Amino acid sequence: MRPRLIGVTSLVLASLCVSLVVFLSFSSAAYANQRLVVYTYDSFESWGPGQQFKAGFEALHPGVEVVLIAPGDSGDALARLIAEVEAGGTDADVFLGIADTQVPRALARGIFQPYDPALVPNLADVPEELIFDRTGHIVPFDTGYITLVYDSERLDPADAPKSLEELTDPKYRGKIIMMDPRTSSPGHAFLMWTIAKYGDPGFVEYWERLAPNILTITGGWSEAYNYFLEGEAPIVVSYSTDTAYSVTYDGTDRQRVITPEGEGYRQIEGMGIVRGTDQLELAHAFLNYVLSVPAQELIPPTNWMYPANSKAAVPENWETYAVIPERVIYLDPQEIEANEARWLRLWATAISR
Amino acid sequence: MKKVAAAIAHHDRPGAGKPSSEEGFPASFPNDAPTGTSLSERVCERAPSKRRKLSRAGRTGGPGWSAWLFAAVPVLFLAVFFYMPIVEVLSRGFRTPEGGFSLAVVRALLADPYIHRLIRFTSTQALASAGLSALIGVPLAYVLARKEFPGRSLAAALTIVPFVLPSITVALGFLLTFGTNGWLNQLLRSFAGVELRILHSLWAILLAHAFYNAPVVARMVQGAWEQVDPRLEESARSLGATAFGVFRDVTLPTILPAVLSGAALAFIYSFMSFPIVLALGGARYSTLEVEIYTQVHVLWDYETGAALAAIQAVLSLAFVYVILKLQGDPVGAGGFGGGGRPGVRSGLDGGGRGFAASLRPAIRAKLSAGQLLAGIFVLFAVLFFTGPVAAVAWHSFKAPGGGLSLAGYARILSIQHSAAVGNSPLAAIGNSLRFGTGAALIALSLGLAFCYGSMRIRLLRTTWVETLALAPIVVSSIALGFGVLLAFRKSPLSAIPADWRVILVHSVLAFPFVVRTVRPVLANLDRRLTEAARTLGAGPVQAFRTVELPLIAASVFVALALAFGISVSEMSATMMLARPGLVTMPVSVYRFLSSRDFQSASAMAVVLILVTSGAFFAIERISRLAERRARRALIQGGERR
Repeated sequence: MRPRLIGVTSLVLASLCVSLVVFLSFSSAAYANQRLVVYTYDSFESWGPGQQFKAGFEALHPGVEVVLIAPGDSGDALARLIAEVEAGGTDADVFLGIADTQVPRALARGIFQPYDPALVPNLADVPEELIFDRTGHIVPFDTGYITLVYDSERLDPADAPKSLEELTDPKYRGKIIMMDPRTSSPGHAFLMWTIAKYGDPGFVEYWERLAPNILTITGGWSEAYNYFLEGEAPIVVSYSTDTAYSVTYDGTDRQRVITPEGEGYRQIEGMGIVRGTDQLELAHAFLNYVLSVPAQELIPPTNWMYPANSKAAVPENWETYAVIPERVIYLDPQEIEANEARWLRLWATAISR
Repeated sequence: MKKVAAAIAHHDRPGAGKPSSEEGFPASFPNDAPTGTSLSERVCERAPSKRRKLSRAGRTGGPGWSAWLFAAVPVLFLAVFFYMPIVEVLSRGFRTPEGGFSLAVVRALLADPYIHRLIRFTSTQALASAGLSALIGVPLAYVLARKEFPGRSLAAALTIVPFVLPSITVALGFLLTFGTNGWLNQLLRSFAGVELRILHSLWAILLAHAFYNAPVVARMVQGAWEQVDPRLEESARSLGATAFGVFRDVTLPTILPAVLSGAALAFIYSFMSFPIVLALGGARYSTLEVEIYTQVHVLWDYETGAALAAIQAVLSLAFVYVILKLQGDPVGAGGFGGGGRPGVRSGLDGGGRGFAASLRPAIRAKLSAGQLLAGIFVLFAVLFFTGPVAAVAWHSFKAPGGGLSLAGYARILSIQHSAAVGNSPLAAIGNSLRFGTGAALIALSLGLAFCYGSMRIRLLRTTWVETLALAPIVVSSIALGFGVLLAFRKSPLSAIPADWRVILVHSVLAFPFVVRTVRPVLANLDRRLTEAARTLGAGPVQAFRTVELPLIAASVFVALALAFGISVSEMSATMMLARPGLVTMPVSVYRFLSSRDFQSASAMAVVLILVTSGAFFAIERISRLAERRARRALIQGGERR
């Protein structure tokens, strides 16, 4: 009997030793001479252009290693950066992928430092209208449009909604999928769109009328789009490049983009240099690289956004399938920042009434 | 906060162990009450109170230095990796801009009608979820405890699958099952011409919470049910009691504590629930955790976020305290898996079981209607639990453009992506296994040390300490994420490499599960065994190693499995600590989804299911083996005496 008991005991002890070995076997990565740490959002890092940017920049700057760190979506990544800076220091040198609407609040926290335009010459090719941050901290690197997308096999193209107002028509009862503006950036953009159109507090009344037509408001874009693809409802809030995506990858154009009254809400993604970095020169070089034509042309087919550099080309089928709204709706980030907490609360109350 | 499930898998009851020296049985057999006691005695005396006193009286001797030493390690560990970071984060909600203490933020929140509504809804849906989980879990427990059927241990192992699934995968499974074009509605439409609208309603939230928690309730209640002596029920029946009467008077009092603690777990899990609520119910059904997320990740208002998280933590800790108090002295509530068949019990009442089994055929004929009902229930349960999982598996073969393909799996297995940073999906599998193994082993060592110490130190047996030991799974995962992120930036801890950090945090989260699984069993052990060993010259550690450890081997394995499962499914802290090369399986599922590769996301989820249920099945098997060995060893020992 004794040996067995000892057997079990030694199993536990042995497992402890194994765990020790497992730990010791972890290799901490050996870093190159110079390291540029870039915080970004996860889809940019893992499947977006992140890896190609890293390779491209490292090729141009021998001896430099770019480390991409992606703690969740853009809001999560910024929340981490702010918490770190306020706790006394961060590893990040550059933040890539801040949404325009987040910029005023981020600037108020003092996490970015102004860039030197002379060190980012490619900025000259970025249209004036995209340079939304007049304080000189954030550089735009891509842009896109939030619109509506409908399933042409589940909704007759003739019945597709032609305006935001028409969306509240009872014929669309339970036919629209939306995203929560608190947890999803397309959801946020759509809320801003309704505020731009109906005003404050007029948007509350609009959402109250819209509410019965909304099948569900999901936390993130991916659940919403999956519901849409599986036929839960024929209309979803999404990006104006969605048809181009499904034509490219799924070989179908049944998911079609609509711009109600020719409108769409503009999103601009920016990047900035983190305050206190010791890689100031390299950080500027990185900003300039991301704005260069070769890097910019990587954005459309991976991040499904339009390049900020007007000289960069978009894929051929974008001419046919991706849509740039005739009338671009855009709220000033300053105005958003001043009202956001209140707007989100009003919205949450309106939809749960 | 899925982790909550099973965490308080039942609170152990110091001193609730049954007297173990009934006549005719060797003193060394713990938990033998059902077989060792005469029927009349059992029928007359179900109340545990007298017995408690008896066994408590038998527990003598003050704690030695080793007990303090053993207890100090886990206490220190929790203090450094959990309590200090979390207090630091939550204290932001109570700080004035000048650094003083203030309740202003908390007061303002508590006066806000919107927050009231959130608290009300969060609690109500959690209560309803808990009720539904119990409603599904208890009959399931009956089937697992009382019915012999082929593949029973496989079924038991599979009950863990929902427990480790990322919420986004469950949401997908529910969509493919209960959606307008889900297989259930397709079936209903073609056979009955009707449609079920479950998704995007409160029902979807409740069902999803039950999907996670009913198996946990089932495993806990199963253990208790196995401790009900079938002969008691048979004799009550033969004395003229109705089937319901027997259930009410004989079965229910024994299983009730386990049912309660299972339901309580379900409540806490649902109380903290966030992604599943938004994915399946939609933003109309916001919970407190959604509001914390908004304050912290959207508005970066850390003060309000911290104050909200503190309110939430106080609410849930108070709740845990009440449950632990309520459960003060139950009769043999089962633990998650291992707790239910502590040590050697089942071997000893094998005779009793056999006897009961021989009685059963007489009654079986009368029960056929009931059995039909049971059959129907099992069918529904199987559909409910396997439906969404099977749908996800099917989805992983479905090419986006139509038709079937293995492309999803091909992408998972590709190493192409790893060339850059070493975070290919394949590496994610390796990481999950590594982190899971490391965290499970650390949590197990700490948990065992804590149990060892707490069995001997009275202070550690108080309900307050019990409650505080559970805190890691009761605190908002958003707050925890921030806490550890900042803690690891400070000087001594900042030397810890990134992968270690993840493992340490996972160990913190798994620790309560180990304690909850092992302690009840340990508490039920006959202390005189250890004392006999001590009298014969064994040191305290040797006595633990050679006498107690083998008896709790089965539950140790279950604890190991649970801890592994918690680490494998953990996502928010892992993402918060993100570094190149730290991708795990659920994070990978999430990333495939966010880059709209739905097929690969499903394929990854399938791999996650296979890996974890495989590990659980292996552990279930090994634990049975270990249990049998320990039993045999003890019987031999008993005979020798």
